[in-house]
Amino acid sequence: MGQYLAKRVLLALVVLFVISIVVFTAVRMIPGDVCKIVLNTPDVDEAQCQAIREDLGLDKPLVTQYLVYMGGVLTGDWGTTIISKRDVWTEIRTRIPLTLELTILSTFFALIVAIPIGVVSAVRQDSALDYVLRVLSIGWLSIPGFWLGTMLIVFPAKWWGYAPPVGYVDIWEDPLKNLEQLYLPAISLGLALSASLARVTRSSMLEVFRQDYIRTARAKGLRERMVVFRHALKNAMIPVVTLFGLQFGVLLGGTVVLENIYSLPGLGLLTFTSVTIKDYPQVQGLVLFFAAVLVTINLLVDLSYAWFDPRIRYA
Amino acid sequence: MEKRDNYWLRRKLSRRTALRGTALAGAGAATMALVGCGGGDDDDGGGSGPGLLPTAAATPTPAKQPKPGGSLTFQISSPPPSLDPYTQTSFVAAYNHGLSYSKLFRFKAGTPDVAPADNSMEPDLAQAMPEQPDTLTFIVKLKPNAKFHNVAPVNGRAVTSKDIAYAYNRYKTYEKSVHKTGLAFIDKVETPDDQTVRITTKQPYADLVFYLGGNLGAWICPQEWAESQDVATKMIGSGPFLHTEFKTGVSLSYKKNPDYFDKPYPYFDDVTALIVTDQAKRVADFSSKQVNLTWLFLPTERDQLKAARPDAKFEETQGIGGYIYLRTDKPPFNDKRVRQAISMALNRKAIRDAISKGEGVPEQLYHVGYPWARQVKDLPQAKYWEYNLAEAKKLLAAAIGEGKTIDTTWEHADAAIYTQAYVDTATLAMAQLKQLGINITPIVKPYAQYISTTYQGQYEGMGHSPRAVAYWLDFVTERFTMKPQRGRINLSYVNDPKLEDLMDKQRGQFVWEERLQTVRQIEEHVAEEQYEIYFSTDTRTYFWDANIENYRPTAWFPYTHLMKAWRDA
Repeated sequence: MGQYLAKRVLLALVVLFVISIVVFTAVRMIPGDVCKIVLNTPDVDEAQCQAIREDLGLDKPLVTQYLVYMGGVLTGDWGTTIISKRDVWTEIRTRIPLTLELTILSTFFALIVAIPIGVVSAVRQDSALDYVLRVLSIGWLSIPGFWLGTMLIVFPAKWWGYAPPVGYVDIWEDPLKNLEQLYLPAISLGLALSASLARVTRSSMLEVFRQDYIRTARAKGLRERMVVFRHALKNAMIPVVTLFGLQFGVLLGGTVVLENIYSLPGLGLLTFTSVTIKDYPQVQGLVLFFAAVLVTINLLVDLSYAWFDPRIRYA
Repeated sequence: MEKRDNYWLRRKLSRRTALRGTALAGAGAATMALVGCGGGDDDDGGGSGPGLLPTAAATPTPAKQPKPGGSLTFQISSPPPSLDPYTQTSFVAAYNHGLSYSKLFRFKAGTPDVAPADNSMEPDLAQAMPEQPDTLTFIVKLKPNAKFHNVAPVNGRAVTSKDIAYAYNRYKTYEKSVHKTGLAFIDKVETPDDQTVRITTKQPYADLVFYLGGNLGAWICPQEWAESQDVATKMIGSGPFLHTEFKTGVSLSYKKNPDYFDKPYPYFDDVTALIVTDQAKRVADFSSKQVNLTWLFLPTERDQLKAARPDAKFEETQGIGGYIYLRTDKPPFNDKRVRQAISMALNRKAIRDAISKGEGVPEQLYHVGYPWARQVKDLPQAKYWEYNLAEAKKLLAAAIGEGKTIDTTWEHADAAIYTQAYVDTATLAMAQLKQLGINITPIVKPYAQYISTTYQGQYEGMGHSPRAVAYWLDFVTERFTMKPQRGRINLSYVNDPKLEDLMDKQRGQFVWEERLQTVRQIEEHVAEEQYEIYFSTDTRTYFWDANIENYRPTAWFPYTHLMKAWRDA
């Protein structure tokens, strides 16, 4: 296990190294002059631009720029944002809690919807209920989060004059207000995930139901509830967890749109704003951070297999 | 002229006398509505109709006793890129600058008794309007009680003439300043004493008061703060409100400046600007009465809000007016017949119908909005704004040959900043021009890329942008001159000696009637040449709570005038 873990961590570091090069290079290949973005006006001259490039270190060779940047990242200095001169890592760090909370709420919503639907659908395979749940989940899968998010803003306001409270407050300051601000985007973000998880749960449960040990469990007289939840569900979770790991990137991507719609100052909104104003250091930092999160999540997913299925052993 | 108490009219009447006391008066000189500046995120006023449209009049209001206290929340549509006034022309930054910084002069508009698009100025840090001993010299006396905010590093010290000189010099010389060309008319700023500023211009410049009172680059930010690293994220000036907090991506908060020099303002104790980028959320927040003031809604959202908040006050404004720019320095657009044909092949009404329920100002010209400006229909060149495909085809055939077509590109930004209406306008116009025989390949760029490439003039063929507008007459110079240090956004590569002469001439004409004659010549010239081809404008609407008194939107965004409002409940 220890050897496997070390190997995976090393591999993850290689992946992150490659990603850092790709991101660093790609950001600099985007057409347009950064100095005009910094100044936000066409009213610039070459001397101004030169001063800005020097200020940002863009006058140095690309390799030097990369080494300086990565040296900074490894020592906790992710650089400063181009326009507002804020510390990149501070910007990211202060927004992690909100995005984390939003993704946890979305995941929670997705799981409490998906698992029961998947299980019931599998247990009642080919019944009317199964068909209804399958149609529902396909429907949810086809609803884009941004559309649902907008509808959840528009119609309550139109019908009841209701909108979530304005001006984000964090969960420690006012938990109820915070939850009221987040529950609609969490539903918007989680619904499509719940649909795909429900479908995988169903098919995985059906697969497990056909296993010998389930037949054995039933043969020895265990109650059906025990068979389903203790023996089948846990083992059926491996594909579900795998899918969740894969979908986590989609979830993070979804925050870019939904945090923008709901004016939530998380990593998603920061990404949107940074890309819009072409804030190179911030975009680089964010992509690197997201990459690290995804690599970590997928590593954890791989490691969780052993917990879900004791037959799995890591060499 | 109907606006006899306009500043420049009064200058004509008493040319050598000091301009003291009262501000630029008048319900007059309604001008182009500034919806933004820099980056082209702007639009104009003009046309006819209610609200901020040029015909909107001052509204006499019954005297009510102001009630100090309370709070006000309003929305802004995107986060300010930076709050440093020296490096920004962002209109979003400008609204916030207006709360915490001061200028020598400020717009009178913002209360019901002044027409919203009246560009008249009143003294801000200045005691009165400037004295002008000659055509190059402007002398401004500062209010003796003007103080900066009572926070470090300025700690409530007095605003002196040296602060004014420092600010203007920084705007002109700071390497990252974006206002160098804008203030290029200033030769020197002298400070004979702490209360006196003497500004000498390089040439007679009739728009000095309007430029220094407008919102482009004249905020007085003290040296101690201007040179601080935090100037990008916090404002410390001498304005009516203290900037207390900037929650990135969420809000900017303000508290009443108890030491504000212009008593009894401000009335509100707290003001919050919420950053809400999503239009649907802006509608929902105002519908649910969580926001007191919101703005810039197209007709569809406007009607939703009217239904949701029948109690709210509202006022319509002329909205975004886009225009096509093209490479007039190269074939085929160097032939004015091609440009005229394009204008005549645009079915502006169809575009208005599709995008803004048919609302908006049908045609616009360069000075539309000013009461003295002729409408397009009154110009000898009015036919170029009329949809006439047959005539357009004839013009095009005469220019490029019978049966020939033009293949070109049209660059524009995506909808992220300029809205979907802007993108839809481009799409519809391209389809219409195909009927003329112009086959266009659209090139859509992310805003940041667009603004740093196409909007810098790096394009071929055609482009499309919201209109750059201003509250000073000389803005035409910025649009059409090729002279260094003057031209700022000459996107159509206009190089026209006749136009240059006219622009130079009007800039130095202090006698209004004389300047008007020159301006009319410019109008007709650019109308004939179609250097920029304008679409109609749409309408945008402001809403605010019924119990907010003494407030009215202005055609120019700075929210300095919020200091005059109060809540009657």
